[in-house]
Amino acid sequence: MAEFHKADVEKLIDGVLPWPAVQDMMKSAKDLDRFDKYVEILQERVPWDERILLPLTPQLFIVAGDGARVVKCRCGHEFGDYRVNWKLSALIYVRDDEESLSEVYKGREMPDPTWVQVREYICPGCGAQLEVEAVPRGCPPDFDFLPDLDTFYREWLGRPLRDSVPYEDLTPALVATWAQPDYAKPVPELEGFTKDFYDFCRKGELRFQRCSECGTWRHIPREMCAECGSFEWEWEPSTGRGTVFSWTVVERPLHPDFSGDTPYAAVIVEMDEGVRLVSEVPDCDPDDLRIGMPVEVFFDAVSHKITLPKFRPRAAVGRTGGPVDRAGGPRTPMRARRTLELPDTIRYEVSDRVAVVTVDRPDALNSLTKDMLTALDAVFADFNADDDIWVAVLTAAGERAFCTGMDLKEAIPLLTSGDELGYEDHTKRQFSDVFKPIIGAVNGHCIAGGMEMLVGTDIRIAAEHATFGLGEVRWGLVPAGGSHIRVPRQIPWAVAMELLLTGDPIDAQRAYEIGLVNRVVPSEDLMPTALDMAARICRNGPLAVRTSKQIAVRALGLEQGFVLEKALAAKVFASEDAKEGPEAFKEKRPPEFRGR
Amino acid sequence: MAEGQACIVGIGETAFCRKPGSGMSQLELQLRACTEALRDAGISPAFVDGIMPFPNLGRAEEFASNLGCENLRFASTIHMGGAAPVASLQSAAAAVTEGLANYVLLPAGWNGYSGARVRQTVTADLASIPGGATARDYYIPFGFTAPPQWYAVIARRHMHEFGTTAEQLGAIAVAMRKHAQLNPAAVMCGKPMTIDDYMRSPMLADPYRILDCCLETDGAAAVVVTSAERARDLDVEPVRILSGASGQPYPADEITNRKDLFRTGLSIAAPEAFEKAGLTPEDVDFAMIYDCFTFEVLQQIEEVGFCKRGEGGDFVSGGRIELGGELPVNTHGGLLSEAHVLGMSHITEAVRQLRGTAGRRQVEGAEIGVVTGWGDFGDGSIAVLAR
Repeated sequence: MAEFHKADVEKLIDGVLPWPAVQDMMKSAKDLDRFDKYVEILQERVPWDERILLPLTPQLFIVAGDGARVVKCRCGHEFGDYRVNWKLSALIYVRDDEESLSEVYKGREMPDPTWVQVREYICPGCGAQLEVEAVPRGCPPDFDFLPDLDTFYREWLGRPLRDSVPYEDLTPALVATWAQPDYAKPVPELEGFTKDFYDFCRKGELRFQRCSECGTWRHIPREMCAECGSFEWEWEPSTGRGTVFSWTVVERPLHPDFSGDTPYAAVIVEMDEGVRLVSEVPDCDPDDLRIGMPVEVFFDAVSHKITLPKFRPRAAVGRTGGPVDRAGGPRTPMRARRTLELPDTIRYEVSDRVAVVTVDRPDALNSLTKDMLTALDAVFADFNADDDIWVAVLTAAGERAFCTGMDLKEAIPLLTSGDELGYEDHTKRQFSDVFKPIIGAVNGHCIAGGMEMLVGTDIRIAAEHATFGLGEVRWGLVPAGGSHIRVPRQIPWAVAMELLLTGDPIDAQRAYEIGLVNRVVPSEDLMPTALDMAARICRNGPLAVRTSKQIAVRALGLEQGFVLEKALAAKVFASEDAKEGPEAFKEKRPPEFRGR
Repeated sequence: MAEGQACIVGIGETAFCRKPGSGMSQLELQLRACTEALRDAGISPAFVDGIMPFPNLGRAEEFASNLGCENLRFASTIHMGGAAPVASLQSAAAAVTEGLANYVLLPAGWNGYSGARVRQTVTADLASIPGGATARDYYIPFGFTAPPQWYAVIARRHMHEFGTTAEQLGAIAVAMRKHAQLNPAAVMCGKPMTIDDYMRSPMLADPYRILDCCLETDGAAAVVVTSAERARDLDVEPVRILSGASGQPYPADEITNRKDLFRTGLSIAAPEAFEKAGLTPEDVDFAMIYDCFTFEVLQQIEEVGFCKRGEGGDFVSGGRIELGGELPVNTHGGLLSEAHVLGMSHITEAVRQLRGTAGRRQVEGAEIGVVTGWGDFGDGSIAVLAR
């Protein structure tokens, strides 16, 4: 095997190695330590000490920083985790008109600015131009290269890196946080004790400092006990219960960020522990507040970072509180996720790392409107992004239906006119980006779009009276929400075809036999079984669980199928039969299909 | 006059206004009040060797450079918000009797209407109060953002525990307004108000109505303090500072967790001040009480000891705190109806009363008066003055 001297590699890097030597180098097998020599040279040339793991460009390097692998410019400027496209944190100069493009392109070489824009990515630290891309207007910044560093070091270099990280593009997660509506009110500054206090709130715990020597509780947090002088203390959990000590009803805001809220009450709550804190009792009409009124804490996650402890009248907890775990008494009260603006028909509650998402439109057999579909997507995006929620249970209100698909009154005109109901990206379907486990708890009819939703879940529990079916073809339509791709991969071909082609529904027992659902249980055991399943998953390593699902789903490579389904289904939706079917359905008569 | 005593020998004020504002900087406003006070005392700025500016409203160096105080040797600021002017009176008295300074100037003033409004002071500058970080991290996120809201919860507790009523709070507002009608300098002069007007005024932070709250105005005031010996050489009638004291509530940086919600800095300061003066509250002819909100007047009347705790509601009713009553309070109209001059105009009014130059609002035979200050989360200060 050929050996090349470091000096030669250095010349190679600088582009001054004579051409015959380059050819020689290219023809022979790569020497084992070429990478090391290469990196060694680069390391000598940068003005900082962090270890280079991989060069990205002549100017950018992935380095091992403090507990993270970050992209670093030669000048020392850092761009953050290497799994996030560094371009998002660069300065960007955009050339998208003739004048600016003509500075770099002459005459006919100039691209048409109607279609193309040129972006120059500049280092905020040193002003060096790091990268240039010419892309269609509006195209997201190209993530040129996301190396699988762990695999490379483990399998190619034979020396695994310490602290391996999941090989995952984190750019979408960052972008998703940008899409979140900002919480517009003032928030606490998360430093020191205050960070601890609010971090506990994020975990759904209200804790106060308690002196380890004399047992005195205190709030606001302080360094030492004023009663006994001790510096020893613990964050002890509060009962979460207290009474209203005093309050004021703010009728005229004195802070502009609260101007939309008046009248609202700022309430002083005296906790069981004796400490008092300022909070809100949002579910209580200010006129109904009384000194001594019993209240109980709940947690309002106002943003990704901040959860505020708020209170509700204690008597009201039984009415609106979360589900009861039949085995073990009341669960931690469910907290509604108030960051999202959801219609009344979609409920999203979180407790003990489990989200319960409920389609709540029982009067219309839990059929979905476009708004509800959008809300479900928002809910599952939130679920996906929140590190503190590990499993979701998807169910519906009432006992008759889980979901009977789209609300036909609204959806048919939309679908036949080409509306994509928010699924403009043809490579995606419901839940296809959600890599945390979703458990379906099927409480009744699971038909058409309901079935399409269900086959996007991972583990399914069905009530004994549940039914399952894809009846679209009966009305001259096709279930284009991914069922053609998912169903034949989840149950045997012949059974899948029976479902797709006859449109006939099956009962829960049959669904169990063909492996469409995991369990069939009496109605009253449905949620306990689903929550128990969720709890069992939560015992496992969340990263392992998530990655496990991710591998399984991504290895299926469904995207091509989804695109195909969309393309072919469009023809059906544009057909005359697609108008006749729903019309016949409305008029309660058999349809007369013509096959066009 | 006793040896070793301090006195106020000069007072000065600018005009007080809302629209269109003073039209000058806060520093210029205060410098004009200082100039008036020095003229009143009959001394040139060169004599002034001590300056005690109000917190966050200018530095002694700026005042000295503008006024021409060439011999500045005592510069100090007491960080007690609205309690600062009266607390400074105590420090200035100590300074002139101990020889730290000969003449100490106490300015205060701001564009409280045309500049940063009173209501915004805390949210605009959290460092402006000792409990700023508490407010930022534990109050403001819950919409508990400003002083009237912070104190309203205390007023509600008082109403709950002692049966204090809205009408009793209203009586305080009405008394201040009545006094303002006799004070041409008062912003509310010519705008009388009845208890019905009060009861009809909109809620701001229940139980506080708009008319429970102090004015937001532009204006400044200043006083000059010197020793009794030096005062003898001046052509003014000195007002003696019999005693001064200040104190803090506990904890001072947090309102809601006080074991005794009504115990403020004044609860500590008042007994000390009376003891030092060798007097009791019964000896007092009038009181200038820092009236940021109506209930705070009631609370301070109780904590100074003019009545027992819980009896403040009755005490302020029936004209007892009006001119001609048992204890005339804020004869100038106070922060509620004259102007918000951060408590300094309470001192200038007390001086006028003891000089006997208060005109139509003169308290007959006024010999001894009390001035209080209230700041931040309940810091308190008090001075007992005599002619």
